[in-house]
Amino acid sequence: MKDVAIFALTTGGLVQIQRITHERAPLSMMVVGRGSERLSISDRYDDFVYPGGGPVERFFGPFPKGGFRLEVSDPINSGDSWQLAAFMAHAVLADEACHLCRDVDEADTILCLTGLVDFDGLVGGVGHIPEKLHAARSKLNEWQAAGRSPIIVVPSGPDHERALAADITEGISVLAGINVADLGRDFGIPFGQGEIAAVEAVQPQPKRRRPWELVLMALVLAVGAYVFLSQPEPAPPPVKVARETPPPEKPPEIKPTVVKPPVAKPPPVKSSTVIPAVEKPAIPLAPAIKLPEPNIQVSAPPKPNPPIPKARRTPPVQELFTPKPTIPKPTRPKAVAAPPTTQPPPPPNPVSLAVLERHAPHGYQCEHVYFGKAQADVLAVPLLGPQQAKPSEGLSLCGLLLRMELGEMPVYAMVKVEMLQGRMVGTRHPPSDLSGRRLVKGRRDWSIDLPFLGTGPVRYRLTLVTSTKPIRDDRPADGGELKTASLLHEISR
Amino acid sequence: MIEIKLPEGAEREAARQRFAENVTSQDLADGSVMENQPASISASRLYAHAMALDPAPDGALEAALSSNLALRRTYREFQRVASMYQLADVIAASSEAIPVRRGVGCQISVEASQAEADQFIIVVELDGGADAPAPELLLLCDEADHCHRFPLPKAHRGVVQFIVQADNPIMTLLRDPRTQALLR
Repeated sequence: MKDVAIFALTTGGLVQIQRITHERAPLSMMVVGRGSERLSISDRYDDFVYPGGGPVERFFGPFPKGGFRLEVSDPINSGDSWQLAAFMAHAVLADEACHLCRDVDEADTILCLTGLVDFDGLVGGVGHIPEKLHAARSKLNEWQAAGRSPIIVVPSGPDHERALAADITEGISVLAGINVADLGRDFGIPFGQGEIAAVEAVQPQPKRRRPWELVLMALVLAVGAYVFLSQPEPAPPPVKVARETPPPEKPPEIKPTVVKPPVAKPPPVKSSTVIPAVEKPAIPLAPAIKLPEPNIQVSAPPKPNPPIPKARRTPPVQELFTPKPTIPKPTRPKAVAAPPTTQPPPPPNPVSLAVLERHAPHGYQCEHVYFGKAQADVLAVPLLGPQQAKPSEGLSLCGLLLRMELGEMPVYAMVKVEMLQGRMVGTRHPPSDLSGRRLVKGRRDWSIDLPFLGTGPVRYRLTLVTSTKPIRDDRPADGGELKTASLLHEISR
Repeated sequence: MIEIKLPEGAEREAARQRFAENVTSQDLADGSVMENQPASISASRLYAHAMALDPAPDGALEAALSSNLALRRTYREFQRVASMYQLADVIAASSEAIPVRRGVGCQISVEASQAEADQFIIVVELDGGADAPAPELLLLCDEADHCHRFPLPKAHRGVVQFIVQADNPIMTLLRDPRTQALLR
């Protein structure tokens, strides 16, 4: 029997889900402890577990007639970020091999979760992550000091990035939740197989393509790659590259050879068969796109990089759920590990900067782009000089995408935008991992909006500072060396 | 030996009414009303108190209600007229069971909590579901015409539900089949 203590991360602190009981009364209720006060948020909880209304019944139902009584340690007055914790508590309740424990000292596993859960089991963002972690800090530190290893689960994406940027005690795992089926599998709390399959079927997955589509796509890619490679330099006018895509963890490589196999030898598979080897290169948009050459090369990239040491891996959650004595010390997934000290220092990274314009697509306005109703069209801005980009203009210009290519070797990087004229939205909040205090690598994008009102000219300087040592107050620690790249850009609207 | 057959039903109600009238007239005749009642209660004052969902405390009126049967009956009548749901009288199946009260458009039931032995869940279910007008007040009037008010939480999916401890006065009233339930 595995004892699991589940807490909801709230801005008021950690709220433990102490017990769930099935009641004959029709409405599900949330109450404080063993008391009789029904919290006002009970209606939301009822919607969450009611048949056809929420994911709990879909995954763990059908339930007998009646509702649930969910007991929490402290009141929750508003919001829905308790959903992920409540869902996992129901998962524990449904699993005969698990027990939802009230006493934390008896728990084999301590889970602290926040996030929304939709009907398909996808975990949605909630916000206020720094405040929630700050409110939970004392308890987390207390458990950590007692040799416990609480696991924090936040929604993937911005919430996870903010959680990683927060100052959390070393040794506490911060995991990104994408969907509950994966979380359940990772935590060793299996759900009903049929339900999981049903949910996985509606997960956003890459579209399966038929063989002739693959052949056609490969042909187009091959032609595109040939045209791209045969051009000596990018054309001066802005080149439309692609719809805005989230920054991948690893910068995609442009390898025209990857498209050859399907052209020369189409895979002999049926249309219903999954074709992993062929599909994967075709999925990301970036390799198929004519990307502009990086605007600025900071350091010479002649020497190939030596083999890259593998980053420290976050231990699989399954490992964290083994019985107490054998729980391996979870590593913090927020930082990429430094290269081993025994190896010679690697050659410097080719670090580069680029500016891309974000335009409202045809038929849409900038407010659609700002509020995620439409994906922006992204246009690369060519260079006028070594550190100056061509001025941008246009009525459909909604914002910029500042792109930093940091190479394959982890470095400490700090980026900032210095406003010389006019204003833009969000220039004081660079990506959290580009604060100079964490090792980063690959591509990083920083999306900045232009103000909706005030159409005057805007001039700014984008500066990227990298070092092999952490950067504090614009200086590297312990005598590390700084490398700086900057780019001047002007916008007239 | 004199055998007195107690009246039932409408006869009993009529007898109670006569008795209340007699008591009131005697009190008026011998002046005890003036001595015992600190202040007279006007009909408008009683009506305002009865109609308010959350009436302001009125000690004089409550004292008068506790001692004056006619006043209580008037008060009860005000409540009955103003109620949106009236639940029919019930017959107890046993001394332990809490009968389900049914009325036009709704019913009130009591479920014992599966989690806590000393707790009960009061459930008011509206037949019209979420579209039905939701009551905000439960009135339980006992045999002596004392009407007790219990504010209700907001309805959800056509159900009003709340938890009470076993020693809550509402449990005594609901156990008694002679108690009339009104929803406003």
